Amino acid sequence: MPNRKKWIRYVLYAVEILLLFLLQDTPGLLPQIMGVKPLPVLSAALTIAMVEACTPAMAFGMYAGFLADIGSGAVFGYHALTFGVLCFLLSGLCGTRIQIQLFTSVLMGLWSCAVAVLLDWLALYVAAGYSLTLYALVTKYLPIYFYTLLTIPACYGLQAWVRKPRVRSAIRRRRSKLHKLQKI
Amino acid sequence: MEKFTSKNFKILMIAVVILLGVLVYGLNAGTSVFSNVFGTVSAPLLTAGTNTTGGAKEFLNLDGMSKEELKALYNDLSEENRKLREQLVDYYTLKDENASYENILSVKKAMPDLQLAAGSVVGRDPNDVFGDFTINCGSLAGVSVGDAVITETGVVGVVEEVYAASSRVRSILSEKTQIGATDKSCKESGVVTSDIQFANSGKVKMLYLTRDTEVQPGSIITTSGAGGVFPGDLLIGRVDSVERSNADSSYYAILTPYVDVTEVTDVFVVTDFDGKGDVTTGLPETNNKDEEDPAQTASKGNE
Repeated sequence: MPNRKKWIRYVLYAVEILLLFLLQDTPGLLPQIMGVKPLPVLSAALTIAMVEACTPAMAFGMYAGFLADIGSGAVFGYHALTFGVLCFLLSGLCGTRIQIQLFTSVLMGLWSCAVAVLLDWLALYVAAGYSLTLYALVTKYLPIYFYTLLTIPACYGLQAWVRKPRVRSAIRRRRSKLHKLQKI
Repeated sequence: MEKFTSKNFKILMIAVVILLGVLVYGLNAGTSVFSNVFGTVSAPLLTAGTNTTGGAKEFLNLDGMSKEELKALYNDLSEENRKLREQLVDYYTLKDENASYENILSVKKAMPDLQLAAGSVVGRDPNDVFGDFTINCGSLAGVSVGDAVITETGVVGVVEEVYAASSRVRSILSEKTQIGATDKSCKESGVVTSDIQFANSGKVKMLYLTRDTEVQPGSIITTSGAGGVFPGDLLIGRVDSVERSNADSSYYAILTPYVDVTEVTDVFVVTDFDGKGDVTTGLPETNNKDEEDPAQTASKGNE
């Protein structure tokens, strides 16, 4: 039974990332701030990594990365690699050192999102040989970073919602066990 | 040390090695099998998303309107709705199709030698700083890498990557896009390109103008056709000002493109035209009979 619920959760994550990808890449759907749009697919992958174990976190990071690769002009596999490794590290950190809540999820998002956006700037702009690299960082990539940060609480809320039934059922199971023990 | 021998870490390492393989293959092969497969799968998804959004956006775009304006808008729409009920159900579909065909016809009439493939913008990567986008026509529609992308009002960009059912377009605002251009009035030539600073303000620049340039604000800049990538006489933009370059003694013109690439929704890909791939197209003819002074030839080349 718990195994089945785990797989249902994974399917929900996959659908969520796919829908966020459509939201992210469909022209004119997300409002622009300072001429940039956020990266909700990245937010979703990071927040899933915060609440899941290392291996599924990495798998969903790679899945989100592959979708990001489709939409971008980057070499295929680049985002899958960076998102996968980042989500693995984030999951390892959150699983052992930090208890994840809304506030800590934003704190974790601060550095992990910065790493992803900075890597994008280095790989897709600086390494591609474009000029005015610092100007691009300040006027484009930093606004993307801050705008993406804004979506992290919303994505964390989604992950909490996806996990909610599991938590409820766990509480119910514990209560029923307690009842049985009390009866005994 | 236990961390590095754990099962999870081994899985990470295997995944990293596989992805590095995909990455290296993609770097060497250009458009890889993987990207083709994913591109083919994603194109219909993106198209469906775009179509759904188009209708919904009209209803949601009510920001910044006062109560009175909304009331007036409601009355107007009620009246319009009454009239529209009298018309056919598929009126708008036919109207849109008609407008689309008119656009194709206008471009076709202006340039009969152009082979066009119509496409719609179905994806825009938020991470892209130059406004590159994805369109829903690919190699199945005859599109190939390097094809010019235009609308009825001017040049939009160039095809950068082609998949079966979709293509990625590098916009005219990209630093890597370079188009041979000419001023229609004074016949002066240059290269139209951009950088991040110009792209942010939606402008492009025409480089390599001489000190005594006759290009003036208001001049119309079109493609020269040189190099055989873009057909000649396609509208690019209007000159805003002419400035002196900081790097050398040359001048450059700042242009406002006729097409706003950040808002464009429907485009045409020029799949073929007379002189495509011919590098001598658009270049001034040389007279081989009369041998010229090498110094004069060099100065002409510089011009």
